[in-house]
Amino acid sequence: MQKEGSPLKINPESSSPIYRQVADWIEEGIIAGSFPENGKVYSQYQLAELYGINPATAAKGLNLLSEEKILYKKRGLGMFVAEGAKETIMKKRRSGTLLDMIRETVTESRLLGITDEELIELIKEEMEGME
Amino acid sequence: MIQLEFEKAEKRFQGKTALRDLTLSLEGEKIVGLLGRNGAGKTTAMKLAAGFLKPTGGDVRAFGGPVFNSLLASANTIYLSEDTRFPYTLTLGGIIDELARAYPNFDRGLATRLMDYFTLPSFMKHASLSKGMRNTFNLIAGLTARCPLTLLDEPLNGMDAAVRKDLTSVLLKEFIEAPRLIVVSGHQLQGLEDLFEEVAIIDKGRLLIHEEADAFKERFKRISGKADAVGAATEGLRVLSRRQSLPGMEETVIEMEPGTALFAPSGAGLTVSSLSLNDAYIALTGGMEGGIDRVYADTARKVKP
Repeated sequence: MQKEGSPLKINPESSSPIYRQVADWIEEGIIAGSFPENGKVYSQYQLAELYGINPATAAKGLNLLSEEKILYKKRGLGMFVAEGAKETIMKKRRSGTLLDMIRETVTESRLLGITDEELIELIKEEMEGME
Repeated sequence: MIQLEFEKAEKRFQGKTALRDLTLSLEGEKIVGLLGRNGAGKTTAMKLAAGFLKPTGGDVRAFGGPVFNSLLASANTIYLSEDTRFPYTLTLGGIIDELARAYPNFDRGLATRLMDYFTLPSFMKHASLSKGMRNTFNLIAGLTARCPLTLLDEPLNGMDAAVRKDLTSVLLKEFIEAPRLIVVSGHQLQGLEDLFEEVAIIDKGRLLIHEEADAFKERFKRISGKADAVGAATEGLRVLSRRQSLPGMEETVIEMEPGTALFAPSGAGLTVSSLSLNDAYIALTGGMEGGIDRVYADTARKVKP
């Protein structure tokens, strides 16, 4: 079920919590250039209205990004995009997704009874084939 | 800071105990969902908080003392439900006038604009409104009164989806505009779930859970996959429901202890998803072993192949 009425949609059954979904959305905005470096991002209240969520939840999403040094706080002014935020996000996402895929590959090959040596061999062959 | 405190609060009505031993403390400016099934004691708890009822045991306190018979508490508290009635002789406009006299923060201009938007003519009598219109008016009055303690008992009952959606936004905007302690009670959430910062669940007159809404939601997981793999992953955990999906496959809903993480080996072919707050709440309070299916399983019912 999607929430009606709000311009942005929260997926209530996603395994990532609402504040993480808000943080992800801001990250995507930074990657796309909608929130430039040293530019101001939405406040917890703007986010609350955009998503139709509690302002405290929205603040949690912003704080998460500030802990990850993607945003920084200017007292009384709000949250701003840190320098190098785009690279930080891309790096974080790359390592996250890639590691997940490797983990899945290893699990699957063990399930199929492929030895670790055979798997490494398969990866090498695949890499050579691409060159 | 605003604080509403129930301490071992009990309310008996002629031999029937509506609330027994409720201890709950709500603090600060936030929106709290007070949830529970029909008959759990929500309305009694709300009316005790409003000072409409006197507890037969324990204490209900806010604004520095017991709320019952306190002028200070009643000047700073508003309670509205679908059963709230106003004098027959008053028009909606007249009610607004009276509320503006009673509550110093009442925003009359905003109340009038909202009434226009929801097509509630000020010359109408409250008693002649339909259920949905009456509740819309009550909610507008309850929010624009801007009381430090705002108690809304099943505020969205009987409204159509479009009005519900608009009023959900009004609730959020009002909270942002004038932060206060808003307690919303209900047996269903109807789209308000994302607005709650905390949930308090009462069951059979007692507090079952009081937790931050995000943390509460994250403790419930739906795990599906091969029956033995699901069984292994959920061993020793609190299983709320278990049902067969495809032959040999199973879907289980579990409740985890606060602060624990689920261990689901990625190779076991398990799908783990979160529950919406509403589903988590239903899974938790649905309580009856085996659910409605069990009632039917006992009858000699033949399911057509």
